[in-house]
Amino acid sequence: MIASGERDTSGAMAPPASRPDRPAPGDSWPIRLALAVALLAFLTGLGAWWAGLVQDGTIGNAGLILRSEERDGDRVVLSLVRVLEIRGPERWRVAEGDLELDVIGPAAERRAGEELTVVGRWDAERRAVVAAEVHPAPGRRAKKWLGVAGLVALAALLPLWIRPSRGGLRLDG
Amino acid sequence: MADLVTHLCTALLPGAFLRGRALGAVVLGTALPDLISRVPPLGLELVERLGVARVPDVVLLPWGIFHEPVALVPACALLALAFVRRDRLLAFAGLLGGCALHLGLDVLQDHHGHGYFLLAPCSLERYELGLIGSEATVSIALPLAFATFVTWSTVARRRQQRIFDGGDEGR
Repeated sequence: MIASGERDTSGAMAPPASRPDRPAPGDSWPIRLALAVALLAFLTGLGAWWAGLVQDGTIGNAGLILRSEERDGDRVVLSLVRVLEIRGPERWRVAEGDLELDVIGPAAERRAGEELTVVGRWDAERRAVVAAEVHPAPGRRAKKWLGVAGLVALAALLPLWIRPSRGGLRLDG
Repeated sequence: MADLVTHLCTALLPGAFLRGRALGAVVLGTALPDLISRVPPLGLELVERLGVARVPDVVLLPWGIFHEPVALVPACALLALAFVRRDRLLAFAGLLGGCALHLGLDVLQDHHGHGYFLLAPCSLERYELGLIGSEATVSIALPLAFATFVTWSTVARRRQQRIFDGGDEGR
């Protein structure tokens, strides 16, 4: 009998050198599990760090509200935000996730529910973004449907090339 | 970000000619950044919108980083661990290649300076080339998908024909 990791030098009745279905020495499930846990822990830490940056306004636009005076005059990009309501001929409100901000700019062409990108400057006194450019994004809905179609296509195609086997997933050309 | 159909086509179209065992991993890699950074928060927001549960910010906010290289490399490694030993390195390389295709296409877009954190966590600068609009791929997605389908059909038919001809010669 040959112990795991030892080489059979007899040559007689030797099993095939590599059996992809069978875990090789040093590839046991505890090692894979430990690696997976370490990678998951790293990704979780990374996510927590990122969430902290978003919450304290370092990333994203929450800082406009949290440090309004400090950010006065800063260039702001409200990327692909949704118009919530028209508040007057020169003022409308947009939502970026949970964050809601007022925008100062012509409201005649705006309508609630519209998605757009606003480039402008933060005005701390008026607590609003003064819009310099407004770029409507009329293709957002189509893009979302293409996303759904892509997911369906991916789910249909992947089983052709990636198949489950005893030792894990296997690539098939 | 570009749409998912176009992302898939960036791997599938050349994949019709360069078929290899890594193709599945590359195709999955082209979708992976959006799968792990956009799909979970969209699902969580839907849960909240439907009134099923209130999702705390700490659960909603971390996902953005998973579209950046610093998270994609370990995510590909994690996914590659699910493959058998023989295929693991190839799967990892294929997934990384797919992610690189994805980011390469996204970085071409113009988000008015609101680009991608390619060097996070070393730098929180945003990067983009601004060569095409953020919705530019929407109009080409379906023609591109059709072209990909036609290319795959043609290449498969020619391959079958070659096998058939080779079989005939062998007789």
